[in-house]
Amino acid sequence: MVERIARACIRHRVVFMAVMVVVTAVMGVFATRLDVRTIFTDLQPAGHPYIQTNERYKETFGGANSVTIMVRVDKGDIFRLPVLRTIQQVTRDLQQVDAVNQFQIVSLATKKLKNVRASTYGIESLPLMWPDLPQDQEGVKALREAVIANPTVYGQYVSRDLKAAIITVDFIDRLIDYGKVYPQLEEVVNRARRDGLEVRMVGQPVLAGLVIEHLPETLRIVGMIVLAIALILLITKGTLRGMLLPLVSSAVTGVWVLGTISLLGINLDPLAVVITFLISARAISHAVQLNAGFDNERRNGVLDARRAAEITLHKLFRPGLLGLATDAGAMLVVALTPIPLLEKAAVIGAMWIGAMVIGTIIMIPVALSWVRAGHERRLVDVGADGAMTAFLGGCTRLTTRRGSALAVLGVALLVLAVSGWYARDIKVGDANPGSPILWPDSEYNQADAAINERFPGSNRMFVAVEGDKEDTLKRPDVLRNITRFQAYMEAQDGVGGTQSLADVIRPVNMILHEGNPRYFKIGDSKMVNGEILFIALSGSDPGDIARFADTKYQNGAVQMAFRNHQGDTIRTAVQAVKDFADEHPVEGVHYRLAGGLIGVLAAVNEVIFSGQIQSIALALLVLFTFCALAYRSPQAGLFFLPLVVLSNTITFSFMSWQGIGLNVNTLPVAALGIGLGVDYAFYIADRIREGFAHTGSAERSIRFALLTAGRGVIITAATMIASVVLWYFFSSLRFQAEMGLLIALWMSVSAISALVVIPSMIYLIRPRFIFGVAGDTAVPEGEEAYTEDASAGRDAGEADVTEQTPARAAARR
Amino acid sequence: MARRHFAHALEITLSVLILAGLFYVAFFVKPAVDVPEVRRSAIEPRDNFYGVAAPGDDGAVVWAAGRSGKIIRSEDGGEHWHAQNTPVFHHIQDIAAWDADTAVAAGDQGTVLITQDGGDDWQAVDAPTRPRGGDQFLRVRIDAQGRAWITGTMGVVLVSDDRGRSWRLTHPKQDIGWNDVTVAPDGTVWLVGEFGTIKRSGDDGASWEEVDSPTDSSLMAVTFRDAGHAVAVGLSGTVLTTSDGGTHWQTRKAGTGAHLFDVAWDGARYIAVGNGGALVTGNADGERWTAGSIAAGNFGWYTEVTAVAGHTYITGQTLGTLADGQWRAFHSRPAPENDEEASRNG
Repeated sequence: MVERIARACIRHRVVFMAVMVVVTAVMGVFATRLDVRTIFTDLQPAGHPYIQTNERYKETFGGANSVTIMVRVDKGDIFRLPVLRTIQQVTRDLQQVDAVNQFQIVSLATKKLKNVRASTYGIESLPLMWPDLPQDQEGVKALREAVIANPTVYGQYVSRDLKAAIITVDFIDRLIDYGKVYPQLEEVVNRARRDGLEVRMVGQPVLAGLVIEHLPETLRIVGMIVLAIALILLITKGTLRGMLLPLVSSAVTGVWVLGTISLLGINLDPLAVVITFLISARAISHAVQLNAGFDNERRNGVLDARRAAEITLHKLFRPGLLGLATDAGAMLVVALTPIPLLEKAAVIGAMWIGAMVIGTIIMIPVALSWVRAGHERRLVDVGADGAMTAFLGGCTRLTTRRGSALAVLGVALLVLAVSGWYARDIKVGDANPGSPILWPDSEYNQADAAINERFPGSNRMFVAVEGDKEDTLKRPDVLRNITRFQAYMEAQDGVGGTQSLADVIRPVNMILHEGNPRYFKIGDSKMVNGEILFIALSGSDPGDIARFADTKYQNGAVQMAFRNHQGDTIRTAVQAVKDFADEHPVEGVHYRLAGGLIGVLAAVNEVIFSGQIQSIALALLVLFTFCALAYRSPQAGLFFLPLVVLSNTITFSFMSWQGIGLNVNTLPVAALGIGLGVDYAFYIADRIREGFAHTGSAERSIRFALLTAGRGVIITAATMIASVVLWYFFSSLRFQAEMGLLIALWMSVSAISALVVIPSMIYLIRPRFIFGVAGDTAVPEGEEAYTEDASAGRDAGEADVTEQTPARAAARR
Repeated sequence: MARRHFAHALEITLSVLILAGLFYVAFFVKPAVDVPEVRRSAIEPRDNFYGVAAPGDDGAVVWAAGRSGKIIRSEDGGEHWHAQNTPVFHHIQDIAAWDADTAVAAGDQGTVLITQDGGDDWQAVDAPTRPRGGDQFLRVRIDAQGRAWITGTMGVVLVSDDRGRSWRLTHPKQDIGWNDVTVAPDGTVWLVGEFGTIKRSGDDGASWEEVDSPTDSSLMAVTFRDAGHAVAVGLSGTVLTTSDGGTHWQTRKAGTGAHLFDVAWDGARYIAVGNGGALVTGNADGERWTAGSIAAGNFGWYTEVTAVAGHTYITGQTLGTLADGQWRAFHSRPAPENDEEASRNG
């Protein structure tokens, strides 16, 4: 059947190519309308209970899209009119920024921060610095004292050394467009900056905005990489088609997929650019194999380009399809993790790989059928071919001697064991403080460190406290339980501080008792607490206490500030909340996890964490099934498993060594990379099988496979490794740099497995699906030359590889 | 032939096993989160300790009591602390100790706790209270005769002759909060409290006599250096002194408007602490007072100061010591499991 399709495509090659051009052109138009942006809800596993809590309460208790801006002075303290004016100005400017939740801007200059004090007129509750700044020096001094006396402000919104203040602002998830919001925020911050006054900001919108801002740089690096690939292909292949076909093929399939997702209304996350790159590397790999296969047929005497193309297509169809199928399978397994971002990445990846069946596996041979015999000459020849042949000869000798083959397997097993040991250290979630997307010395991460050093923390989580009836939150036993809960949480590493309704009540109670700190506590009855709250909120908007409780005092929140969002910190904190709720239950009250950025990340991490082992197991199942089906032998399924496991353990141990955590951004890359391990192996194994069917000699078929498919492996690996390291050198985004390194690592691992480990395994194990099936497929004519090609032998100048076979003459009949 | 069959069988078995294993892992293995047990620190960020006691002559054994029924103890002058179990979750407002083993603590909602074994076991004891706020105990003191005194709101003054096991009310009901009690070297019992009120009793609390006070500001603490000289401090920077055993009190300029919550005599000077990190010191005759700060940038509130053998312990928003004028806040270092036992036995 394959044969028939191949022949049909090549026979109607003009029609085929015309269709391809039209489809590509149409898709290209749609691809230009591609929506490249970060959508926050893409990050959220919608069914997770934490996300549901976040969705229910985020409008009042504060969601995950929040920004913290710190204003800090060099000398003295912030209690000077110009500095206070800056804080007020930033606060006011923030109201003009798109998608801002007007009720969730908090700073000294908002109504929310109040001073409750005793005066001759009784107890007053007045905003600290709203609507106006203090009028004079006296007023500034009074403000300073009021701030110090107020524990909901001092240490929370003004640093303990009085040198810094923060302004926090929440954004409305469904309205936020990071590409628009970030420049506006930057303008606000820039307007406030001046000598002696440092203004810095952190938060999810800032981070997402920074990534978008780096998009042009990312595209420039992509351009450089494409150029590098072209150059290396030209040097190694020598011909224009050798350079262009792989690039065209990956570009064409890319256009189809980008056009399709644009049509489907799916957005492309800016960080997914690395993934698209990883996938197009597959197209290049397959294209190089097809090119090499075609060359091989022609060197072996099939001078008619159409015929050579047909044979190439026929021979490489199975390993190519198998490689693509396992890749697509591994990719689709990612979609089982119920996070929209991962589902989208998986669908895009699988579609792209599917497109390669036509856009690469079939299109390349069709294009090759136009190559005119005799008219081709090498544009560049630096002797790369000869060096490769010599190297492959070395690999052949290494793998076709019992001793050295055993040694190769021994080393591979050792690597598997060692990397398997270290792979267990892989962290789910972020492994380091700051954002893993950026370098530790980036301005953003520096700002993050500076803010989290002086304030309880810029990463927020709320735990909802749900009561069974109105005024539950005024109950002393409930408030006391909440206070204990806060103390329990604050003892956890990484928790910078917590706030709740109890923190509103306690200072007011103290003021009611002549400012005596012995009364820095909640009231002894529901009624007293109600009175205290009434005083605390007199003259304020109902929304002013919304961060801590609803207007009925039935449901409230404990607000927590985290100094970092490391996976371990989040996991420990979430477990601590559960432990406390279990050990200290209060009748009529339920603690519900969890909202805010940390709550969302906790949900994401839990989903990834519980899914990672399943994903790997499923990916291995997919591989086993496909291999067993393709070779009609369970042995084939067993044979390739260790390679994928090896690729897996090496990836994970590299990630844990580099401190790269498994999160929504790295997971798809890791999942797709895992499939990379076997791609090449299929080509090699298939060539060995093909060779053995004709020669009956294991040594000779391995040599044949290495010199044909092995050549493609080296070229692809060299091309990809040399180009992806450009990420590392030029990207300001740490994520891309690290993923570049990771891709290079995979390429190396899979190339080594394919060139050395697979042949050694085949040589030693003699699997039946390779050696036991001679003649089970119809062998097309003109492909009996299962030794090395003549040119390679000549280049290498090695006697033992130029051995002629009797079949050679037959090939020319 | 047999070998081939064997290999075949092995291969099928392996395949089935691996497939079954993968299926099992994929659908039934739920990885569990392994969270390390958080070791509770003796001093946690949210802790406030209202009272501090350092029994003995060397000041090495220190107790502090405060928020949510928490009592901590150090055996080495504050280097290491460990938390002790108490049966209450209300605030403990003060702690006083006869010696390193025997101590009493008092606080909110009529809470009185005693220990006879250094705090391994804190027991709640019954103490008389009054309705409508008369269960708010504020201060506990031990006098030279070994009696324990507790003051509180609604005119509550309690005394115990048996190291805290039983208590009796010694002051009639009155809508006044007594913030401190002290027994002067001559045996006179002194009370200070709201509205600047000062009272004394020459008969161990059987009867009380109000003394003229030059202030309306609430007085928070009183201390006698000797039978003749005493200092009382209070809200809004109030400092009163007497040099005639308490018959006449004079107002002194403290140099600060901050509330002052406690005062102690360290053998060379008076030390008073209060709001906003205020540290006010006075000379022996109580005439010259200097307002300063516990430490630059420290704006916390402090409720008690205790001076023993060169150690000056100050507690409130944070807990620390003042040595040679240098403030050092205590931080918690979780003690090794056996540390507690070892240091007690040692």
